[in-house]
Formats: sequence, C-alpha cells, structure tokens
Amino acid sequence: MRKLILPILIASALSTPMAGCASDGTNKQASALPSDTLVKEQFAVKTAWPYPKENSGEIEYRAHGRNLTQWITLSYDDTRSSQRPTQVTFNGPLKGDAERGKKIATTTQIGNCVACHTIPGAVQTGTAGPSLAGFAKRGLPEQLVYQIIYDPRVIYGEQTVMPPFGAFNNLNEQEIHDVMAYLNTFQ
Amino acid sequence: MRQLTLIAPAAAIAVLLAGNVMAEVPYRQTTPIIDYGAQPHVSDDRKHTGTYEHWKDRAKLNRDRVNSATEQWTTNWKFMDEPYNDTLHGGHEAEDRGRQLFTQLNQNGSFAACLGAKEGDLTGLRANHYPQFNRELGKVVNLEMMIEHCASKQGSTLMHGSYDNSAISVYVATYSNGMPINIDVSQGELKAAFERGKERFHLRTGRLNMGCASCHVSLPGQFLRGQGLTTHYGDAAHWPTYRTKNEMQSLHVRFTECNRNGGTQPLQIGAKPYVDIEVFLNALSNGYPVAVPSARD
Ligand code: HEC
Ligand code: HEC
Repeated sequence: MRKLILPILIASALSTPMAGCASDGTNKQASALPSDTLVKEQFAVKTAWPYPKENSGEIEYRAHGRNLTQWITLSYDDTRSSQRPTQVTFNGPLKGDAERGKKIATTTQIGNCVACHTIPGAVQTGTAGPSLAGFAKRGLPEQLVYQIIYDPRVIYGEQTVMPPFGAFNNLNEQEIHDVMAYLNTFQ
Repeated sequence: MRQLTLIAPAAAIAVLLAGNVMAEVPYRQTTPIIDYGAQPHVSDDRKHTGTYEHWKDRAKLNRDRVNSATEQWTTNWKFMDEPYNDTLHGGHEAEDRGRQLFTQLNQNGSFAACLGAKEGDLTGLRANHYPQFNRELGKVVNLEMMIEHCASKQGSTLMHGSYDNSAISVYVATYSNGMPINIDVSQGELKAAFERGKERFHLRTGRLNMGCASCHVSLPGQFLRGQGLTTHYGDAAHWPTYRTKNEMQSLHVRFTECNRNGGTQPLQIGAKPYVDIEVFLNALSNGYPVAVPSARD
C-alpha cells in the first residue's frame, strides 16, 4: 500500500497549485461559500441578518454577533464536509482558569452551555441536557469530560444534541480546560 | 536536499487529504426523520408530541395550561394569537398598511390577478394557493415572492421579507382567516419540494451541528435558555407575524433567526432551501386554520 500511495501523493502535490489559499488572502472555505448565503462584505463578521424596517419595501441588513461562514449551511450548493466524530486524548494536568471558563460557558456566542444545562447561579438555563449542578462531586474522569466537550458523539452516539465544541472549531484546547476548571467548582 | 525530500511527502499528504474531502460526497449528519406520510395533516402531531388536543381548537385553549410554566409549550403558544391578545398590536398596524399599499397597486386589478386571484377575489389565496409551482418563474414560490414579483412589474420595490411586503401578505391572508391550510404535496413539483424540505429540516449544519429538527423534533417540551420548544406541526398558519420585540417577520425572516440561534450561517430570503422548508412546514399545518394578524413572543 505505502509504495503505491507515495508516488500518487507527490504527483498530486505537483498538480495542485496551492489549493489552500488564494492570492487575495481569502481561504478556500470562503471562496467555496454558496451564493445564496446571507453574507455582507461590509461587515467585519460577514454574517448578516435581515431587519424589516418599518414602512419600507426594503430590508436593512445588520451584522450578526459572530462570523458563521466557516461552517456548513442549508444551501444546496454547499459542498463542504462536516467534521466526523473525533476521538481525542486529554493532555493533563488540567491547566484551566475557572473565571475564563465561566465566561465561555455563559456567553451566547461562545460556549453557551447554559442554553441547555442548568448551571449553578445562572438564570434562564436550559433543560435540553442534564443539570450540571453538583458536577464536581461526581468525579467523572477528566479524559471522559474532555471528550464529551470536544466531541460528545464519540460517547453518546451521532444523534446526541450536544454540539461537538472542539471538533467543530468552537473551543480550543485551552478553552476546554477553562470550562472544565469551571465545572470543577460546582460542588 | 534531505530536508526537502522529507517535507515534500508531508505537504503532499496534506494536499491530498484536502483534495479528497472535496472530491468525496461531503460528510453530512441528519437527525432521525419521523414518518410524515405522503400527505401530512396537522393532527399527525398526535403521533409526535401528542399535544394536538391542547391547541387544535384555539377558542378552547385551557387558560391554566397557558399560564403554566411547565405545560405552556403543550398549547403551542397559539394563545399569543387571538382571542387571547385582541389588543391593537403591530400586526394590526401592518394589516392597515397592507390594505393601503394593496389598493394603490391594484388600481386596475392587475396586481390581484398577478397574485392568482380569480375576478379580484382574494378569498383562500393564502390558505390553499401558496406555496405553488409557478410556470412563468419556473420554480416553487410563496405568497411573499409573488408580491415582490407582481409589484416589480409596476416598478415598485417590495422585497420579500421587508415590512411592506409582509404587510400586504398579512392583508391578503385576512381573506383566508379561519380557512384551513390546504396544500397538496402528494404529487408533482410540490411533492419534490416537500421531500427536499423535509431533508433540509433534519440536516445538521453550522458551528453547533444543529438541524431545525434538533430543536423542533428532538427537543419540544425542553427549554433552551428559558425558551420552551414547541411542535413544528401547526407552525405555518399565522404568518407573517408580529414579534413582540417590535419586528414584523415573514416566515423566511424567522428561518434566518432560527438559523442564527442554532449557529448556522443564514441564507438569503427566498433561497430555495427556505422555500422547500416552507412547503414542508405548510404541509404539517394542513387542516389548521389561518389566523392573522398574529403576535408572537
Ligand atoms: C444543545 C444542547 C447542549 C449544549 C449547548 C451543551 N450541552 Fe452538554 N449535554 C447535552 C446533552 C443532551 C447531554 C447528554 C448527552 C445525551 O444524552 O446525548 C449533555 C451532556 C453533558 C455532560 C455530561 C453530563 C453528565 O451528567 O454526564 C457534560 C459534562 C456537558 N454536557 C457539558 C457541556 C458543556 C461544558 C457545554 C458548553 C461548552 C455544553 N455541555 C453544551 C446538551 C448540550
Ligand atoms: C437552537 C434551537 C433552534 C433551532 C436550531 C431552530 N429553531 Fe426554530 N425556534 C426555536 C425556538 C426556541 C422557537 C420559539 C418557540 C417555538 O415556537 O417553538 C422557534 C420557533 C420557530 C418557528 C415559529 C413557530 C411559530 O409558530 O410561531 C418556526 C417557523 C421555526 N422555529 C422554524 C425553524 C426552522 C425552519 C429551523 C431551521 C432552519 C429552526 N426553526 C431551527 C429554536 C430553534
């Protein structure tokens, strides 16, 4: 196998001129963005939403709180792939900061764990996932908790509604450590 | 030289991997699709969330249930519509505006005719004429797309999703008030649109890997950030709607909001996947009476 693949690799490297980045600085993802997405170049975040301003036949476009263009959309022309369920290894020891973790877990455009989970002290929490109150007392292995936050599909199966925060490039390793440190404060 | 030959294969592997992803059928996840049947009806919710009995008759909504924090979702939030909120809200103002604009555009009757009204009669247009396959445009259209199209023939800009477009849509829909939604998705172009819409509704997208169905099929009865999720049956009969945050929303504007809530880049108003999802949701409202102007939280 090895021997067969290597020449092909080299050949394709030669025939594929820098597929990753166009000369104007936009990356492949951006140029692959389907034309029916609601994107406005004048906004730093690109992602726009339509505001129907009163007594007008036109729409006012406003910037969303975050650039969402790197992830797949509902467009029929979207040919990008989603990330498959991804197994990870926890690199201990835990180096998280609970204060930063709190911000990540309770801010809508970042982790927003509070949308689905009861989190001690937070108001307007969700019920879509199990309550995280008293989480620290349960003593779950760090490897398991890291995997659940990185990509819960590996643990609960593909159909879990909990998002894959690490695998989908929402939270990096440090940020997951921060969230874990925050969960550890739930006595 | 040594170093170069070592690096080259590594770079080549990276390029090949990227190339492969593009060439392959893209990896996609869908939430489990429940059996919707060939010609859905709003009462099919009995097999889904089982809440239909509590909201099928708006006049008989149970007040205690409506006021209960834990059971409110079973009333499908229709209590926000008449008769529970018969104070003058933004939806009524939009209806008035819609009547004015319609009268201006329809001075010689061509606007109503363009929308599909027979002899100028708007009765039933909203309940059983849209969404519909339009031969002239060669695609499935909803009422708002036709309002935009017919206005543009007279040089007027009434963008689908704009306030004025929705105002006319609400006004036209008042002629269907009380009439059950009736859309045939058992054959032809609408069946194809329904099937596509069903698939799109269950497709997981965006930064949180969520489909519409993640929230509306898997989670009804649960709360997200304090907001209760209801069944997707009976969702299509009261649009455009006045949102109490003071925004006149067409159904597609609502889709862009739900997309953003689920962390997915929204599409343009009138995009084909949105039209298909609208066909899908309309079929799930078959048999449910049109109610405008409505107000929703
Ligand atoms: C869209 C809903 C949703 C969001 C957002 C969400 N979760 Fe979850 N979470 C779930 C569900 C549902 C489960 C249970 C798994 C299952 O049944 O599939 C779960 C399980 C967990 C568990 C295991 C709990 C236990 O008792 O075993 C942890 C830990 C967790 N989530 C942490 C987080 C963190 C941290 C975040 C934010 C970074 C987060 N979740 C965001 C829905 C969510
Ligand atoms: C993150 C969760 C979430 C996702 C994902 C989501 N929605 Fe929603 N949606 C809600 C909530 C919460 C409401 C308000 C409560 C209700 O009506 O159930 C709502 C309301 C709606 C309504 C208005 C219902 C009415 O009767 O007024 C429609 C229509 C709708 N969603 C369609 C969609 C479509 C189409 C998609 C996918 C493009 C989608 N939703 C994705 C959470 C979501």
